[in-house]
Amino acid sequence: MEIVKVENLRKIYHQDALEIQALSGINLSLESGEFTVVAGPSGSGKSTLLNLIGGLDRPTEGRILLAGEDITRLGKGRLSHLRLNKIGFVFQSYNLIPVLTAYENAEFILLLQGMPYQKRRQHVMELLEEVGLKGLENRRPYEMSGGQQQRVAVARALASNPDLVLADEPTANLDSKTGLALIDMMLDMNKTRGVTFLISTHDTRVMDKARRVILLRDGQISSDVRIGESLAQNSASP
Amino acid sequence: MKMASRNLWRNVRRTLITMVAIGLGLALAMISIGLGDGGHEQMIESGVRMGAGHITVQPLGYQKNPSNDKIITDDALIMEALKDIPHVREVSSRIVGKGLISSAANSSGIAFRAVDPGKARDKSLLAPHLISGDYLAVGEAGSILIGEGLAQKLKVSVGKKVVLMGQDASREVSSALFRVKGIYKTGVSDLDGYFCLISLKGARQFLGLEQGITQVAVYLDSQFEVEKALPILRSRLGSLPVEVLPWQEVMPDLLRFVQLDDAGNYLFLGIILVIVALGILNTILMSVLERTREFGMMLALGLSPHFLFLMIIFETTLLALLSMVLGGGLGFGGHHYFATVGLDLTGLTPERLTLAGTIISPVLYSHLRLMRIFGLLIIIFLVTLTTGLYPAVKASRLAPVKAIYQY
Ligand SMILES: Nc1ncnc2c1ncn2[C@@H]1O[C@H](COP(=O)(O)OP(=O)(O)OP(=O)(O)O)[C@@H](O)[C@H]1O
Ligand SMILES: [Mg+2]
Repeated sequence: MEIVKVENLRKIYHQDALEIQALSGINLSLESGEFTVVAGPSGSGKSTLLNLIGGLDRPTEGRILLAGEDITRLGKGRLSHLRLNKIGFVFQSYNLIPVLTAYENAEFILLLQGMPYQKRRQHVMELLEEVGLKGLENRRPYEMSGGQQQRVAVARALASNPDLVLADEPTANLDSKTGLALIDMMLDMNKTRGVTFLISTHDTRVMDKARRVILLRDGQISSDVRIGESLAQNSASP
Repeated sequence: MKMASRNLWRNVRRTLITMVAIGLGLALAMISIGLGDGGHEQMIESGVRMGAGHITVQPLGYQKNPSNDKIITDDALIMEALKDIPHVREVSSRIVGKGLISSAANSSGIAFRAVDPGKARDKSLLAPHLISGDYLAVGEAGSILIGEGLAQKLKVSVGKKVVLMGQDASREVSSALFRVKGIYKTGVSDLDGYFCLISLKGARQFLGLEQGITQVAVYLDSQFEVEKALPILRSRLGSLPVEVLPWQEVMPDLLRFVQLDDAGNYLFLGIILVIVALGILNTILMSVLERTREFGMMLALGLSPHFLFLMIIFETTLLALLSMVLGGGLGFGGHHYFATVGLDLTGLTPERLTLAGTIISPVLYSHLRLMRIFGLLIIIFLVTLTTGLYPAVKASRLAPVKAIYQY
């Protein structure tokens, strides 16, 4: 099933008198259960693409269909509702609410959704165990390592059983070993739960773990490779 | 909500400073209101004691145009009508007037008041200030109490004779001989050089009256009962040719002074409130700006802006409530101190304070009325909440992407 369909997506930022083309005509389709990495040099438009798909920003042109629904036409309130229920976010840093514990952070979205306490508690405890944080439920963010914090963020992103998890450079602030472990954990979740992931990175080792790599360059897709197809084609592209 | 309270403790020092600022503002306001109200009440009470009671009953037209021939002749009827009225503690019938006093050496214009020498309340007014001689005795007609200043001017002492002259009830000039029974000194020159006390009996002889009075001073349980008692008195005395006036009309100068002073106090309070408001605005605004990215992240996750708004308002409310508990405690402590020990202004004033013709005790006692505290608390609470609105609106309007990616 097609979860995301992006058609002719353009985004132009206006900075002072300057026009910056961050995305210039992206066409893309994500199948349910895919684990996709968006790679590309700094400034190539990775964050912009993820933000648009996540409904955090509006495109200048083009359509984004999320489970068949065109989100570019939705109002602010509907978008907020959609993010709450359909999409999980993992950001690069400052992911967690500093005054809440790991448990409370993971619980945050379910609380907003109004899930009853018993169900919520069980669900969150399960998730925290799955991401390997059993026993750290009552730690505050500043009492945890960067990797542990990102795991809490992943647990939170998964808590509402979203259609899609968007992670913008989730490993950028981690050392490579911790970063790779985080990606492995996400891959696990992808396998066991069948959640669709779209992750941006410029770490080649993270790319190696993906089953599909989309390479962005200057706001355009320069290659889109599924693992199993030729790896050579991937590295040969400019 | 848990988040809001934890957010407050994130920057403990800032929160505490703000709390102390709001708290001190409130405490200062409470103390200043307490001392202001207390001072005014003391002033009014003393004016009422020196003057003609909380409520004055006098001949029709006397207030506008006082003269010795305006007499309430059937005072018995009035005394009967004033019996058993709620809030009325005591009534005192008097004859008041103006005249000329002379001794062998000199003469001087004076105001006299005639009272029943047996009335304890009237006695308590001058008796404590006597520096020689005694207070008027029941039954005697020819005794007079004069002030020290007047005694010096007339060159008389206790036991000496003086002559009182004035217009009598039939508009004839009459005179009567009095013997100085005592000399008092209050420290208020208006009183010491001008005010004489005689007995009702003596005044009636002087004015050629069989009976009758010119004034009934009505003392209530407190100055706050004037509004309740006034209509009752008026309806009871409605058929008689008298006017029933509250102290505010009998002593307009005192009322004006109290009102003016109140206005000054309100201005001061207003300034305190503005300072408090700025303090809160600063704290909340800083704490919101500081968390821009955090708020952006929460909005991105799907937190509704409405909820974020409420959260910040809740933070502000909590801050206000905590500050009010702190300030209320401090203010009440201060008030309690000034209510029991009092604020002694003796050092500030070389002479005794007189304002609008009344003696003011140099020790000020604070008095806080519940209504005033409630009013103040509500105002501070509203001010706090209003100042929280701007940052709250600002936060809820954040665009999530911009907030997250700003470094
Ligand atoms: N809010 C903005 N206003 C103006 N220009 C922007 C804004 N956000 C991004 N851009 C520009 O759009 C282009 C794409 O930015 P984007 O953040 O999507 O790149 P990226 O691939 O995520 O880069 P990085 O790897 O550094 O995160 C860049 O040229 C950037 O300068
Ligand atoms: Mg980026």
